[in-house]
Amino acid sequence: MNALLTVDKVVAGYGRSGVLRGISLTVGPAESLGLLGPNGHGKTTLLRCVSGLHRPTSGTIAFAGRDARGDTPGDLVRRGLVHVPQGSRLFPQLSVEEALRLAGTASGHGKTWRDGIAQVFDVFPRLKERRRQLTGTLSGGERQMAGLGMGLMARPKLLILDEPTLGLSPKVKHELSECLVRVRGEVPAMILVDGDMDLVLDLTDRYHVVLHGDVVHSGDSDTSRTRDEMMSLFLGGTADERN
Amino acid sequence: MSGISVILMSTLVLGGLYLLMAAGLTLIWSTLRVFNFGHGALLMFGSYLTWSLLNQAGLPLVVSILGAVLAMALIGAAYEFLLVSPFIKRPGGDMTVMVATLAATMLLQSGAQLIWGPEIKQLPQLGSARIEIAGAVAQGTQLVTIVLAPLLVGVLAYVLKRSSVGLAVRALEQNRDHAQLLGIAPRRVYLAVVMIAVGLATVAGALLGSMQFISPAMGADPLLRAFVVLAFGGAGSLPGTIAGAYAIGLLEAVTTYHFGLSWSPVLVFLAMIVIMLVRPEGLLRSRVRAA
Repeated sequence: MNALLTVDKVVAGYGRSGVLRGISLTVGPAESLGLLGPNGHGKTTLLRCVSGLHRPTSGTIAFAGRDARGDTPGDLVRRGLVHVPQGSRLFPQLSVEEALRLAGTASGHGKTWRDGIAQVFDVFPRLKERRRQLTGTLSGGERQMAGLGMGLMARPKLLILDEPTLGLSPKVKHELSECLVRVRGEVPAMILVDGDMDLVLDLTDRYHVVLHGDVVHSGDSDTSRTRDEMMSLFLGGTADERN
Repeated sequence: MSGISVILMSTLVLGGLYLLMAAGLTLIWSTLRVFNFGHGALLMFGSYLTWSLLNQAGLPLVVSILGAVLAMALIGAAYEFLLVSPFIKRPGGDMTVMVATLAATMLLQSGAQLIWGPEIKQLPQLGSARIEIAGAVAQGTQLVTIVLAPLLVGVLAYVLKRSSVGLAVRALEQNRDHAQLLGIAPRRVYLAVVMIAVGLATVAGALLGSMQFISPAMGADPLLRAFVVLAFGGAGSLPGTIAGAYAIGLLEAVTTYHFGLSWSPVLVFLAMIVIMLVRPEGLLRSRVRAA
């Protein structure tokens, strides 16, 4: 199988503090990969390296068969690697429609952004209701929808989602999970990072557990998924490291 | 009675000039997060360039101004290329850029002194149109300023509101990382923003050079006033800047009329200090952005 994304022995950090310690992983062209693990262990930094926002110290990243080092986020977006970042700040003073239009035109779909918006509104009817509203005045769940919608506007080959349900109430989270199932149907390949382990396992084919900047455990999402096993790995893993 | 109309006329002229300066500064501030100290010197250089095109190249006045605006936009591109982009992405780079723009001020002032010599120059009046309202007279360049400044900045505001480029500029202001992830190239936006800002400053330079005089230090005063406008209107908001420019113009016109020219700057800065104490986010800063 030819991988869509290959991350090989990537080392990265901020200043003198190392975050990623030679992490490697691949994502196939029709595959959904989950990343699990506690906060502060390098998942977001990894995603920022993949999408070109952060330069790794060493290691290689290749997307769609081409070396992606030195590519700007814009180059990668236009080649189909789309990263919806963590947090729901978005663009507080752009309306939902403006933000979606921008996501379409900036990713090189300047002529077809209207069709794109129609498709996004099909996936997220709520966004259609809120189309004229400033994103800064949306509720938390709606903001996440707007972020996902902006991701879809770029017509991704690989969609990267960083903590889409962070900070949402259980009810809203449930609603968003249904949206995420629809999003999964719209994109060929996906990387999903989220604190909700069940959600990640439901929406992915494989998963990695990331601890201290490296993959410490991997598995298929639909087999051997007893929650107890995962819990003990999480807690046991961190406890060992602390001792 | 004529006192009020004189003050209002003067407000529109001064406000228009400050608006042309401050709109560019606001645009640069909101996208690059730096205060361009070189803006006054760029205004001065644009003024001299207009003078040269008029008197040395023998072009008509309007063509000279347009030529100077285009030439200065190119100089603005070089300015961005040499002073902004090498430093802006480094940690603490915004301070480096601000120091670099200070250095550029010195360079441009000394350069102007070398090229055009120490004697003071002036541009002729722009047209001979004249209107009189309730005893207050506006003519020539003053009249052009009253009309042209809000027109240009209005067009700029409209473009920022409606076009894809404007959307990109606003997105970059509001969330730099996410804007990049959408595919916006900050470098290109910065370049466009600096070129537009320098173009507007050149128009201000030509108007000022015609109403007053051209000298190497002529940019210092408008720069300071534009700085007050930014503090007044809330740096980074174009509607705030428009309101701020005319508010400062009004304040200056009133204080000049009642207390004299020498007291006016003192009172303007006093007002700024009060505003910053009472509303540090600026007069028109919206709540959404502050959240």
